[in-house]
Amino acid sequence: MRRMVLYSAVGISAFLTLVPIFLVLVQAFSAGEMLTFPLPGLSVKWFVRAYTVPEIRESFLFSVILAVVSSVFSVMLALCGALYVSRNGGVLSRLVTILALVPLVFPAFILGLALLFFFKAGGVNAKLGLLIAHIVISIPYAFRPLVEALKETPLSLEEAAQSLGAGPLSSFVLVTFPQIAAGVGTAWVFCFVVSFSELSATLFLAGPGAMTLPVELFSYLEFQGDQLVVAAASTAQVLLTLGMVFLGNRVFRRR
Amino acid sequence: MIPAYYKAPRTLLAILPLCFLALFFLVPVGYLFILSFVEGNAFGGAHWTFTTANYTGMLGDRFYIVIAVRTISISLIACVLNVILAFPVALFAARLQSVWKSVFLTIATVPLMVSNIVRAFGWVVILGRRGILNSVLQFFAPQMVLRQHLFSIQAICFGLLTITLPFTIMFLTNAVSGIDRKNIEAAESLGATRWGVFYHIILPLTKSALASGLMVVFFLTLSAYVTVTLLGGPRYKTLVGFIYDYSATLRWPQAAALSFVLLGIGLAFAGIVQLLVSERKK
Repeated sequence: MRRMVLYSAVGISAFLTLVPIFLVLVQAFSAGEMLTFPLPGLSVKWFVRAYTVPEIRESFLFSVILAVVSSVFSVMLALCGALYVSRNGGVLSRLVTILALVPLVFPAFILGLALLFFFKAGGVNAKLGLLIAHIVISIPYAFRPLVEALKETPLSLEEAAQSLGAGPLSSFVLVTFPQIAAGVGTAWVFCFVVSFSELSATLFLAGPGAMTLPVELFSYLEFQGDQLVVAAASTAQVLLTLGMVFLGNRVFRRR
Repeated sequence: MIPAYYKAPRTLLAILPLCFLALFFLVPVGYLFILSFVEGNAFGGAHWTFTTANYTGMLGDRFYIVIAVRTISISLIACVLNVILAFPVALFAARLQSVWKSVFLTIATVPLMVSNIVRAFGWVVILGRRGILNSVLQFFAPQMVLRQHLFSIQAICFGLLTITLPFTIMFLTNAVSGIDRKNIEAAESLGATRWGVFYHIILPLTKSALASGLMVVFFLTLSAYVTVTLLGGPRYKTLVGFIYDYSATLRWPQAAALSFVLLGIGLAFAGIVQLLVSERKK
């Protein structure tokens, strides 16, 4: 009885969280003309068709570029904050921690609206606006692993380097950074994934010439576009994300 | 000893992210707050007249009350279903051996890396008029009239559970795994029933994780615009849908006011949950 309750909860949860994603991945390889189950046959024609839709192709490319650029900036900003927090206490340190983690709990949807009005008032263009929004949203995902990585590195090594005459920059580059490189890599992968799949805030800020793939897919679905094209584009997105995470694990876990 | 001249670049380390987040997080949200008190029609021009009409207008309108009640109900349903499903899953996972537990947690959290649009679309694939559910039904019962399963409260709930369950499962699994088995064995040897063990040992020891899980679920479901729009359609709009519509039709002060109503609802829920958790401590 007890076993059955546990197993059925596991089964239902697995169904609810994994099956929708799995079915999108499966349908993308359909040889048919519309959603059917079981599949009439396997083919990659929907990937080809998705690629021939210029909006989807361009937004995919834009999403990748945006994710790469914004994640680099958020890791750099989060690294600055994490270095300060792990080496200093006091009000400033607490302030950095709070501000760097708040975007995690604050609804991205409302942040997107706030940034839209703010950028309109300031005359910021859509591309720069999206870059800034994605940096703000992904900073917490970089900040936490970086603070943890820095906590594990003994301060004494850095102090030893500095007492031997290394400046702050060279002691960071030669002593501290190699120790936290794995943490930096993990942080970067997190930020990439967050930016690449971000939708709530991006919805407000995207525009002509600055369209990300999730927003493009959303509007494509809203206007009853071909569902299997969306399935193929979604699959490409999922595979790229999972590939990044897998590579990140392989490369950065090794110490 | 660190020489004093290193102090200056260190402060700069804190200033850089602080300034960035202040300028692009605090200031825009503050601006949104100010905007929510500006007269609606005058916006776009130069008239910045103070008014509370954006808020009071909503309170007096039955329409908004209905939408707000629907929004809160959907979020509460999602919270309840999350707890009902995630607790057994956590109890199951906590008993796994460490290798299998990490495999389990990896599988459970993979969906978090998949964009919300893909997860909502998964339900369109299943529930849509020409979706998988209908094609399976047609296969087994060809004479049946095919229905649209999308655009319903159930569809919204499925979609929201897909988004939120990984969080609650992750939080609760970690919390339940942290419980010392001796506590449970002691209770059992003293004659506690399974339900008694759950209520008196497991629940009190996991309630802070449960509280943070519930808050995440509530905030995520309150602001799940894409999921609700794709799965609820035009019939089942929630507050976020109106925020989006207002911003699209340039009624910015109303959109701003509604955003803070939404935030207020979320904070009220978080406050109640915190109160309940700390109350139990005594």
